Amino acid sequence: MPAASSSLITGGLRSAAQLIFRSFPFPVEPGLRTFGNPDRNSPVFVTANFDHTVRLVSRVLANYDCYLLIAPTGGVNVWCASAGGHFGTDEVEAAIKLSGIDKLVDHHRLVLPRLAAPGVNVKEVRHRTGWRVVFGPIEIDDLPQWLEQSFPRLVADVVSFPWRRRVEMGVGAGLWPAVILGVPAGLIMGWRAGLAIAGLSYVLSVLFALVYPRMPAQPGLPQGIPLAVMLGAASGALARLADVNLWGVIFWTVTIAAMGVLVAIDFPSWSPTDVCKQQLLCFLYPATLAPAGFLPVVDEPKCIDGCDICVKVCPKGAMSLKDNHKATLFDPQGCLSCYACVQQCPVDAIS
Amino acid sequence: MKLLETSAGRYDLGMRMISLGRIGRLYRQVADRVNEGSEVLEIGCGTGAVTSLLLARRCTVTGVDRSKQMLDVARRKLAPELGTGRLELHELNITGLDRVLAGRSFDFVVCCLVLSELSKAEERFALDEAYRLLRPGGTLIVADEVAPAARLSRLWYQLQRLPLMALTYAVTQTTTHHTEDLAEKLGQRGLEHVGVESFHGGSFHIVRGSKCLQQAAA
Repeated sequence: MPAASSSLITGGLRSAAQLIFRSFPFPVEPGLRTFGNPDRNSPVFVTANFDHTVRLVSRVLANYDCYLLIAPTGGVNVWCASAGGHFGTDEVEAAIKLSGIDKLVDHHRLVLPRLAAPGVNVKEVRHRTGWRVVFGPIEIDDLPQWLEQSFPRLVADVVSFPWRRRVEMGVGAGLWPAVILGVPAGLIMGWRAGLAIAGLSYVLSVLFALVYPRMPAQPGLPQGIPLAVMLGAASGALARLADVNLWGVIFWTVTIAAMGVLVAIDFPSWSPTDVCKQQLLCFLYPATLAPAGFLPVVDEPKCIDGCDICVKVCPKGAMSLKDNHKATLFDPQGCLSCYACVQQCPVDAIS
Repeated sequence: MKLLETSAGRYDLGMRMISLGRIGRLYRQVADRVNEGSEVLEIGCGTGAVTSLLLARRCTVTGVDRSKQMLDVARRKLAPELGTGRLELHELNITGLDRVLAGRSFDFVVCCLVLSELSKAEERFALDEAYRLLRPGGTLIVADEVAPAARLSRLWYQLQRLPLMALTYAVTQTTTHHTEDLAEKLGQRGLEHVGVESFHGGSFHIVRGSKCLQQAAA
């Protein structure tokens, strides 16, 4: 069928473009989408207006009778937008008001993506709009199991980056070194060298993404400088072996070393909040609500005994309850400084 | 998603660059269409460029903007006026206007370089809110960048702007968008006596429409 195949092709092209340009916003029109035949009791889900996200979410929601509100988050995905201040209380309020959902259902319960927790003040949403927020699963593919539990307010769950997703991130991140180094290399050493540098950038970026969870040292320069030294030395030696002239040896050594630094500095910014572990990264990518090096501190007298909202909401499972039933950050290395615990604490005891 | 970040501190410079220095005159054209001494709501006041011109016209201004960073710049620039009672600034989305400005109304609502930043749904919502917040007989002034309607000339317009936009973005992380059919949109949202004025070779429009007197009485 021509219509189906052409939509397959455009869908494929769109996916490819969004994979290569993953760090660019791809906005879709905010507002209301309807799936199946929803009635006045059907669930209302919310997501960001990043095209890729909306398509993933729609594929799952197509199996249910429900509503989806697309919040105006600047075309940015859920976690980046919420940790960066573009998917917060204002945007949830906007999603409700722009969609007219108030007139379509009798209940007032929104299911928000779990990774919107860093940005959305649940109490303030209720105060402004009368809508109660529950957080859904982190992965939209887990929605069926989550729905079986009848709208729990918050379920403990942690973010994972399986290798497939890291490869996607690596491809997306490869664009920067490929362009920043490939274009000058092409101008200086000819188009073949330019293409080689661009290609190598993608290869290195994907490899870096694959080994990232096992990388020694802190993200940023502590990883970048050793990597640059190793890569520079190796490529310089290879160039010598290949009998390239001195200028060529210098070119390859410097360019490949620079590639190592660029990849190592850029990749951590792909999970929105690894950035905060390094002052340099925070300076380069000022995209999070939390300040550089932020770690949550619990005000114990304020903290409610046995309340485990922050423990559940932490996307890395880095918070726990102590013997005195107060919350604490027990894994500072694991903390991403995402602000979810600060934002969701019902008594503002975390700062 | 670091590319999203607009640099509020360099916004003014970016706007001067992208307009080749003409933005100041355009701001003045917008402000000149507001009667002296009137009560004005400025939606999307940004760094306060139009706001300061309105204050110079002895207007009382309520400025709202959704960007805290932009408002911080505005607060610095307009610090002397903030204490006089003639200026209030709110960090506010369009969808929060009804909440914070409940029961208020204005002689003029000004929207300069705002609608082009919004999605269609937000644009409709913004125009409805602007209409609602106007006093009967009040005027909405929308000023924005517009692209030529015909496809070919629009393509040419965008192509010739590309180098300037790229340079401006590289230096200041500022860019602008364009909108279209402003006059029709104002008409659809219930405004009357809609008039369009064109500047900058047709690339910048100031559109005015007023809220009918009778309707409010009814």
